[in-house]
Amino acid sequence: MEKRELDLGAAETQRFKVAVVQAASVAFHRERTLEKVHRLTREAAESGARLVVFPEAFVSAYPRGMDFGAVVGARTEKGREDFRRYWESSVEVPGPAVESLGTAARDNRIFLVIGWSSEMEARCIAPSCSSERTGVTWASIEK
Amino acid sequence: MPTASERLVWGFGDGSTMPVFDTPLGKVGAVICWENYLPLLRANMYAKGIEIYCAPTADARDSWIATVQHIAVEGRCFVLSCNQFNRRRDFPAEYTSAFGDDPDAVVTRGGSCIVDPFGNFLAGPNMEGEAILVAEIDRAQIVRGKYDLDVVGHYARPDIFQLHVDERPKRAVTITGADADRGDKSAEESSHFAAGSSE
Repeated sequence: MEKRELDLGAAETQRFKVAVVQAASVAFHRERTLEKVHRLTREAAESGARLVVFPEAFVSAYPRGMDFGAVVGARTEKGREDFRRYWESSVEVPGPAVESLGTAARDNRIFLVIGWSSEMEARCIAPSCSSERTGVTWASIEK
Repeated sequence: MPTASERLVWGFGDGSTMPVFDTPLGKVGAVICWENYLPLLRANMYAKGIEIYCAPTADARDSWIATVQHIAVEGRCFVLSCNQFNRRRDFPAEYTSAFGDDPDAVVTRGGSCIVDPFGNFLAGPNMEGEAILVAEIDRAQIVRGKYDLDVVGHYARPDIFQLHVDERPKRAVTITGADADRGDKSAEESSHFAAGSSE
């Protein structure tokens, strides 16, 4: 990985292309969403982008429009099950999904910034910076 | 910092999770969604010298577009704002949604964009559909911008306003003792092993 970094000339680190990926998650399906991340990262890299940004909570969903069965003073059983399924489709940190994101970054030689929901403490959201530079390591920013 | 009903299902980070990464492409960081409405957090990122300010978001309001333009100017940085474009059919049918059951109903309209340090759009905002927006950025624009505006430098007034940031991790439970000490030692050893094997 370090050798690839040496390929970077000064000009290339001053002016370069970046990309933002405006797409839909395969909501509540972590593995299918990761497949989509790999495909779209490759497409962005093919367009020349060196840094690629994905939306908030892309893996596996921003659950817009869901109420998780909550009103003041009461929660429904369906809401609890909705939460469990969301949790099940979230990202273990560290874990295979994070490794997969690191692979997408390395294989395409780009820096990747992507939002996920994490199983950590059952509830956390973090975008990750993974890159060829950091190899399989990852860093998270928790919302 | 989750917003409104997000707090039903997401937790909070602490001050130890606000890094700006020094990469070969410049200093890269991310501020998520309405965290961008925390002016003190923005000041913290500017103080870390952020150059490529990533803003993964779920907000596609017109006001959001104004916000990311403002941040680009205020921080003299490139802002990469990224939102989903999705329809009802992108969510499982069995989920109860405030957006009804029409598979074509737009749930999130996007609005992703790339903004330069003077507030100009280099790409987007796109509200038409799924898309990969690409733009070339020139980091020299950052210093050209800071020439007349550096909100944590020559344009700041530390004689009047100061910000103190606590980046220590906050844990609800901290266990100390013989077992915990052994745990720390083995973690350190495996960390050394990982560093060695990567070289």
